[in-house]
Order: sequence, then structure tokens, then C-alpha cells
Amino acid sequence: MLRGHTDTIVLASLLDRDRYGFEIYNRVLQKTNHLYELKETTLYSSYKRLEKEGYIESYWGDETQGGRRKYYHITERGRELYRQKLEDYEFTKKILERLFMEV
Amino acid sequence: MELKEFIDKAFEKYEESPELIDFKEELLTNLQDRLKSLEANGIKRTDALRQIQIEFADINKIADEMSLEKKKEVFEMRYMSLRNFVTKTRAAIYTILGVLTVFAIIISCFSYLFLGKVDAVTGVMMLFLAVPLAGFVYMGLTQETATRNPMRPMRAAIYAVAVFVFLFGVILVPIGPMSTFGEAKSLEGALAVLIPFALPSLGVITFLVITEPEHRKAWVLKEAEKQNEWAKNFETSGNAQTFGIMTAALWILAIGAFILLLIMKLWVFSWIPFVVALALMMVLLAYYMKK
Repeated sequence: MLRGHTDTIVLASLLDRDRYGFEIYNRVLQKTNHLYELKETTLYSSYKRLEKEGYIESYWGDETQGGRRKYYHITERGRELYRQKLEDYEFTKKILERLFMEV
Repeated sequence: MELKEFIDKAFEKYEESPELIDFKEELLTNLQDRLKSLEANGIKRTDALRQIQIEFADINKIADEMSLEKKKEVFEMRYMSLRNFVTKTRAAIYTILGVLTVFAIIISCFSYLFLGKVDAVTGVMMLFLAVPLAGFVYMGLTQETATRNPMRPMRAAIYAVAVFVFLFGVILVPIGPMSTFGEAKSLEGALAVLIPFALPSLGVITFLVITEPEHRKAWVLKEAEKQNEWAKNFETSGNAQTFGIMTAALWILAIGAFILLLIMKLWVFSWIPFVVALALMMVLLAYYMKK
């Protein structure tokens, strides 16, 4: 069930600031206290998909030492998609809460 | 295995595209950070590397996706090859040239029907054909497509003028001063009219063709390189040399036969040696390629 929400998780990671791949991956680990680990390959497919649809943009960082990092930036369209996904999720949560319970 | 080596190895089977190079760089910096953080948590470097490599065993899935998209792109480009490059102005010029050509053909046909023979009128009308045909040559050469860059306008114009002069000469033959139609066709008369036009223009065209720069686009060249490997095998096998010598002999014979037929005034049949030579050359090519 969680895997279906990879795109939304990525969008949520970019709401406050631009991040690069490892930061996004790490944020998932930290936030879930290592309970949930998103596979990096899954994440990369997600970036490609989101970027192609115009929900995020990427740019190279200007690191002086070591390799360059590729940062992702959420677009206005991306924020719109995120809000919509959040609404969908809240609705689903409400329904499932009622249906999953015994009484 | 270090990270860089691991990544290079994972993607070695894929064609280097700008997108893939980008992705490899992105992957490398991310994995370096990941490795550092694993080490910081007290995991031994070798263990950390192994863990990453196990997780990334299916990394080629992304490369597969990327190369699939690229293939689709190339595929689409081939079939859309003209759509994006023919501007409205160019389309209009093509149409006008087409109309002119059809017009010239119709007028020629009519004069032939009404006058009963191809005479001066037809000849003059045919002049109208030479202009649009030369126009087509110019437009065609300066046309950009998905696979070709356009030729420079100046060069294309020289081609067009040469083609026009050549056609002009050809058209002049039936109405030329020495060989009016209806009279016995004289080879000397026809050649005397044709040569001053045809020879210089053919010379110019030959020079241009020989000195032609590369017009194919970069991605086409890359595709062609793959085909070249096969061609190299053919060349190094020695078959190419044998084929070359045989072809040369064949054409010398054909030209000899052509001249012989001309001397015997059998010039109606003079084209036959060339057709035979061409056919034999194809047979030879097929034979040596099979080897």
C-alpha cells in the first residue's frame, strides 16, 4: 500500500526546501525511525516520472569538491498535485478507519 | 568493488546518452553520501558496499526505462521526420513548384496532341519544366529533416543552376538548330547541342558531390557507426578488393561496348551495356557479401 504513494512522499519531501536524492531517501528513514525504507531504485523511477510530468524540476548543485549533486525542486503544479493527493488520502483514511474496525 | 566501478559495470551494456551520463553522476554522489552515512553508523565499509550493491541489483530497470524511452523517441522522430521541418513558407513554395511542374507537363501534352508532333512549341513549354525542377532541387537540398541538416543556400543554389543548365541542354536537343524533329535524328547534331550545356553542368555537379560535407545529423551518424562495423569486416576480408577490381573491369568493358556501338552508329542500343554492367555488379556484390 505504501509503495503506491512514493510520488506523494517525494513531493512532501520537497515542500519546505529543495533536496537531493540521498536527503530524500534519508528523510524517509529518519521520519519513520527506520521502520520504513523506500528503495532508492523506486525513488529514482519516481523522480523521472515526476520530472517528466512537470511536477518537479532538477538542477545540479555547485559543490566544489566531490561529484555534483542533483537537487529537486517542486513546481506549482507539483504542489497542486500534493494537495490533491493529501485530500484523497484523508478521505481514504476516514473510510478505511470506519470499515476496518470491528464494530 | 568501489561505487564508481559498480555503477559503470551496471550500465556498461547501455548506450551512453546525455541522460544516462547525468543519471550515473547523480547516482554516484547519492551513493557516496549513503556509504558515508552507513559508515558513520558503525557499519564496516565492505559490508556497507555489499549492502548497497545488493539493494541496487535491479538498478538496470531504470536504465531499461530510459533506453526504451529513447528508442521510442528515435522511432517517433523517424516517422515524423518532415512534419516539424516544413514551414508554411516552404510548404507554399513546394506547392507552387508542383503546380508549375504539372502545368508544364499538361501544356506539353496538349501541344503534342494538337500539333501531332513534339516540335518547337513543346520544347519551349518544356523550359517551364526546367525551372520548377531546379526549384525542387534547391528546396530539397536546403530542407532540414529529422535525419539531415540543410545544405547551405549558396551551395544548393549552384546545384540548382547546374541542374537547370543540364535540363535546358536536354530540352534543347529536339529543337536544336542542327536536329529538327522529324528529320533523320543525327547523333552529331544532338551531341553538339547537348555537350555545351551538359558537360559543364555535370562537371559542376560532380565537383559538388565529391566535396560534399557531412549533412547527416549526429544521432544518425551514431546509428551508422554500428552498421560500419559490419562494413569493416567486409573490407578487411579481402572480398572488397576483389569486388572492386571485378567492378572496374566490368565498367571498362561496358564503356568499351558503348563506344563500339556508337562507332557502328547503333546508338539506339548504346544504353544496353550499362544496364547489363549494373546488373552484373549487383550479382557480384551479392556473391562477395555472402562470402
